[in-house]
Amino acid sequence: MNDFQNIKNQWQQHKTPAANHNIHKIIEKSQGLKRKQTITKVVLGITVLILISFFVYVSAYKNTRAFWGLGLMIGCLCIRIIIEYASGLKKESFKLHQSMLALNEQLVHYYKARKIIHYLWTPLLFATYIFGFVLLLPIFKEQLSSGFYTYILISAILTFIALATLIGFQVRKELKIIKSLQ
Amino acid sequence: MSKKLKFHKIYDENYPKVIRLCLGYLSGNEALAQDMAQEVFIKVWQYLEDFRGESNISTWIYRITVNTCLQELRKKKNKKLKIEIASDETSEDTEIENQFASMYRCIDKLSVENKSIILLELEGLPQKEIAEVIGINHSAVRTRIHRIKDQLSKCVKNE
Repeated sequence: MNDFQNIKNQWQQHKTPAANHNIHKIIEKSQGLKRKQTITKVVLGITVLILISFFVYVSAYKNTRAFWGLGLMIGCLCIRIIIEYASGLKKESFKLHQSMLALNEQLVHYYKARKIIHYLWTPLLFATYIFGFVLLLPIFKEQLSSGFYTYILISAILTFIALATLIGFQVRKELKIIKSLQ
Repeated sequence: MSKKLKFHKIYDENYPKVIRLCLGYLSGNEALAQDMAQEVFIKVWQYLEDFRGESNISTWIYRITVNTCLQELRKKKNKKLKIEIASDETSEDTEIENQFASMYRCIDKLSVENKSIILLELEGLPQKEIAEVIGINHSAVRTRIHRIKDQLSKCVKNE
């Protein structure tokens, strides 16, 4: 018997952990995941609706500066949410029962498309979002106390830095995945 | 047969194969392999209605197992996996476990594609089916298996 045959025999005789036979738990978990996905879709939809309603509620369209400022910020958020949602749906559609290489090919295309999102759309939307915020600053300065204005300014800068760092981490993570697929 | 009954049968018949494959990808880490096997069967349940019988059910399950394991491994890539050896066993058992640990270490040195091919070969899957699971042609599988077998045997011997 050759060396590999020995290895193979040992492999097939290896004591494996016993099945827990908890089929119901598996089915429940699967249904729970489906529910979670539906909830995410509903939450994203509601967020977009709330943002648009807020825009109408504060009558931002009556004041040109507020219209552009708030409009750009809300528009960017809505576009980003829709892009992320569409991207998530695309990944969900990949079947895991296809061959390993066919799935890899789909994943490489998917992550290459994600690169366009990360390198083009995200910076563009992020910059436009900040521009919208800057447009609103004179209105804040005019209508808010100086203390509250400073608070908004500092917290916004910190939020933008945190957001940029988070996006940077996410991009790095996905670039590593692309590398491992090639 | 109802979906639940069909799933029950598939689970009972395929769990040992799935867990062995997961153990191979996870360097023998039993706890992680059990979690991964559960993930595999969640996918099996989700896709069960898509199975049209165009391939063997085992080929279909192996495809899901390979793809799920690789997907989970990409997520866990930064966490170093520890090769587990049971401690409360007899010296004979420990020796076998040590042999397995070295086998896992050698398998771990292979590329993702070669690792998948050799794990399926160790399971005793016919080469034609391995080709279907991986997505390359039969003759390429034959050549690759020959090369990986040598590589693995040498590595295990030197461990």
